[in-house]
Amino acid sequence: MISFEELGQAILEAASEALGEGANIVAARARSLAPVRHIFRGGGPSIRPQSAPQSRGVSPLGSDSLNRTVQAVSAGRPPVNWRGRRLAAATAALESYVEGDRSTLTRRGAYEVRQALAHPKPGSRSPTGRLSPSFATFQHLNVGGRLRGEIRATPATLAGSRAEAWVISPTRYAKYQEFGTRHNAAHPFLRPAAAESRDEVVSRIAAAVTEAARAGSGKTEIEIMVRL
Amino acid sequence: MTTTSVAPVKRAVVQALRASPSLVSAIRGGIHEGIAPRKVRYPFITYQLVAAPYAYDWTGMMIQALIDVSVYAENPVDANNIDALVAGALNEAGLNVDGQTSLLCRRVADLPTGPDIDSEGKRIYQVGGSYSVWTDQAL
Repeated sequence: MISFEELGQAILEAASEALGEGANIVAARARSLAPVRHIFRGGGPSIRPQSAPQSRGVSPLGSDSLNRTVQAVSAGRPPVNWRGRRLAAATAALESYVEGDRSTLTRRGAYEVRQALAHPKPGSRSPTGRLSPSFATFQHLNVGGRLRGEIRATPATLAGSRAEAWVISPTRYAKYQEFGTRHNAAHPFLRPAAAESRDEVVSRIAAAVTEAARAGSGKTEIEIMVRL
Repeated sequence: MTTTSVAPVKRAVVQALRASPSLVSAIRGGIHEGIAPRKVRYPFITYQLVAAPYAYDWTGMMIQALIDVSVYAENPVDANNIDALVAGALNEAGLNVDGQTSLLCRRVADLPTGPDIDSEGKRIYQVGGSYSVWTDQAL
């Protein structure tokens, strides 16, 4: 027989765990909504459909270095999907920058590479020898996006009968993107992510609480308050 | 039945702001969506739709819009006074939303923004709040 306190604690822990999962959902959605700066010259490596001779390398795509990069990564067996092709081209552009070709990146992009904020390979060293931080494991950093890469969710913590989990965007300019300034219109990403995930998070917590209550053979009425 | 989007909600918010004579006389630069043009006079207001998820049930659809309204002024007193006027015009206001029934319009948060320097080197104060606007429409 389980006591009421133990049942309550089990329910709270289950809700807390579900809240942590919910925070990860919000963080993932925020990452997909966060704006990405262009770090490549000319608006980025343009990936466009290739004709069959082009894909075989018969006709070069162009003379500028960006198109050479695209051709380099698409020569031989080109990636099938657009996202893969874009990531591959971006990775190649960053690698060429590291090797000394400065024509592919903007000043901002060069800064991000120097600071190891947008390095092509996770765990590798930047030109200054600095280790790439762990958030470089996100693939989309290869196409820019320090803002996206730094968004994270904290694990849920229990304090009494209250559980909390935070979705954090620690980038210094995140609030300017979220709320706008005199010079830039707002591009909100955190609050839309929370609003769009609300139902999913609430249903996950409700399911976890129901499951925990059932496991304890409890027949109780539970009120859940979720603030997003 | 044809459903409408969040555009009438934004229009209703601007109408509510313009319906306040004290607010209209206080803002010399007008009301702008997103960002104001460079040469606009201070103070002015910008508004921005943050999120507008739709919630469906069997009979209708509810739009839960979140809208940021910011005041830009050259001194903090003006900015705060106009922000109070905006809150007075929008908080618990009965909005006239085309094709939808307005359920609530409530200020739910202040914006954590601070002073900024504009392109002419002037210090600009940005004060504002988030407003939750819920509307309902039959399907």
